[in-house]
Amino acid sequence: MKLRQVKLRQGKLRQGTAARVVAAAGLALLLITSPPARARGTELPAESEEFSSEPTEFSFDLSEFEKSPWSFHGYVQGDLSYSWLNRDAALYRLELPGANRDRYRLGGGMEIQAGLAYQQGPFTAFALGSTEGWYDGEDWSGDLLLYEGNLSLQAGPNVYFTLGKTLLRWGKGYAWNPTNFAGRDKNPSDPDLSLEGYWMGIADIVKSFPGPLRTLALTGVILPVSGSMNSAFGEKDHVNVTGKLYLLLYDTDIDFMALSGGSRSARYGVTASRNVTSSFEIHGEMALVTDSEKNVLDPEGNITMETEDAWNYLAGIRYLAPTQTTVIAEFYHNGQGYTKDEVARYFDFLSAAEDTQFNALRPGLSGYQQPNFMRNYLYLKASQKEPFGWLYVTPALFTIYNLDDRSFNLVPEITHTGRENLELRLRFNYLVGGRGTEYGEKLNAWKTDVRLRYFF
Amino acid sequence: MKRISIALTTVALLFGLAPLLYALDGEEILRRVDRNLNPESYEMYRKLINIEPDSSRKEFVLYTIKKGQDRMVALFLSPASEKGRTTLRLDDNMWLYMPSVGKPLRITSLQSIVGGVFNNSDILRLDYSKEYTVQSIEEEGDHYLLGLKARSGTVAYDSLAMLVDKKNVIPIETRCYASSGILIKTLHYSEIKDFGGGIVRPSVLETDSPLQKGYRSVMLFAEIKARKFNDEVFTLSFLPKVEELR
Repeated sequence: MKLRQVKLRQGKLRQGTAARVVAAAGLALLLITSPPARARGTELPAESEEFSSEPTEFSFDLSEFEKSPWSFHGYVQGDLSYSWLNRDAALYRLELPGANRDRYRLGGGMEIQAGLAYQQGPFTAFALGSTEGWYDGEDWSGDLLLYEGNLSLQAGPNVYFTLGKTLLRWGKGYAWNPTNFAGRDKNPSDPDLSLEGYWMGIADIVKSFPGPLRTLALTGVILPVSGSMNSAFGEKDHVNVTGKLYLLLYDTDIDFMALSGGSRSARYGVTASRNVTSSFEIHGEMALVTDSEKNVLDPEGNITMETEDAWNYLAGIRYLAPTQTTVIAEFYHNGQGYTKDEVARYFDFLSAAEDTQFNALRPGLSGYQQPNFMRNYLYLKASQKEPFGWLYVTPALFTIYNLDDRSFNLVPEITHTGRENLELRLRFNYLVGGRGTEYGEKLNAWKTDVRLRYFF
Repeated sequence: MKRISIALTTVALLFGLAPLLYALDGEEILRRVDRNLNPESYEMYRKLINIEPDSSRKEFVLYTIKKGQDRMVALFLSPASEKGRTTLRLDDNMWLYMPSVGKPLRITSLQSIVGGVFNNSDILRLDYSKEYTVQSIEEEGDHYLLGLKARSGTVAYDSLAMLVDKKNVIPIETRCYASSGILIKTLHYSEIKDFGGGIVRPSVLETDSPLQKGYRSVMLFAEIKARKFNDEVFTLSFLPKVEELR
């Protein structure tokens, strides 16, 4: 729920050397956050006798970790980005309407995110919120957001109730979760970002067993939607009921979930995941969305609504190679997505339509502006822990490949955690695709950003 | 005469070997090692220290609970960047719950959630006798040398060579091998301490690896107490609530 939003008009920041500024800032931060390089590159002897215990060398004062009913944590984050805009792209016109013909965009911002919890007996109160300010190349904006705020009760050894604003994240996929019926869609390029919850009531019952069925858990959720509550979830004036049955059966996680019709059409899902070996995991999800509605632009430039049952599914693996390389691969089919022809028609329309015609149709075309709005995708990510002896450095490379139009993004990134509670991330996002393709028609041709986060 | 000789030989063998066989029951020694290291169900505070080749350190503090032979949970109390992360192990299944992600993810035993030389199976170690069977036993002065073999392919190390102190029946050193025979790491136990409640065991565990030359990791044990828990504590649903147990 947005509590406050502020917009301050500022003069446009134009920087001819902005890209160099971002790169220099990243390198400077990398140097600042690096630990002293006193003996970097030298190797201590590996023989075990060289590591004999020295009791005075280490200390552990447990009194520092005495429990308090209060818990407070969070982070302060600053980021800076530089984008090279694709002025020929359809989304350039969509997101920068008018005569703006900028080639570059320099952005940045600050965010403070904090969580506060208080526990008294079986009751726990929890709130997570953030305040941020950012510059997007045009304006300065600010936001204050309550991600979650709820009260939970442990009513028994295996029964829990939660009431309030809560984020549910159902599903096993890393980049996508087609079975996340009562949560928000995550950004596949940044799947760990915080998301806003919905106001709901939750009941959890958990039971453990000996034998092949180790755990059984039942989750029931009531999610009301009105004009002032959960309006982003769907059609208002409905009380939605959703639930999930979890089984740990023969060392396999299995979920069955369902959402009753109401603000959204009824849907049913199943997920599974399992460790095949000590370094190899497989997972999958499948969802049936009944009466899925989709606005489609026809050749005459009219919007028609199509309704059909849609199957969405995902299959993926996670593998840790002996070289300490972690590989994540996922295939995602979005049955509610647009076909290649439908998307080509949409981009043709964007290129040819008058501003007034486009603006009139724009609300009905929001489906085309969702992340990964087409049918078939591949996600591949490889990350390497501390290569070449680079301490605390994890480089990674990932791509989201649109299998329908063969456009994709390619994102190398490097994360450095050399100082305690400090994390630095440098990322470059390069988009590849021709005219009429998803990534070829995005606002940015490429974007680089640096993010520094301090945890407290 | 021949019969008498056979009978005498048999009796001598029985009487001579029986105490030896009893003394060298490797499985029993391994079970005693497990119980001497910690009660079957307990809570514990640990500090993990990763020491890098340049002598810089990273420290993590964990609150850990265990029930029976196959259930374990570890909650990160420090540093702030890791606080609230919780791992669960049920047999060979492992999950990591991160508050920022908001849901448990499956992890594998050879990964490491803290970096350094300790991997997930070291941090969420079940009883040795649960994961390994004794294949050989030798006496070396004041020590037994146990040759252990993994009971299944999902156990992190294919085999272990464990040097056990005869007097206290606690491990002194454990070498961990891959199925190829390559030495993955060596664990060194030291600093025996009385934790109360009859628990007398090493308070320091160090490890190094020929595969990560120059790196070492240390685990310090500050408190180990026997405690009973409900089975449902060791489920995915409870991971966000583990702090409430402290």
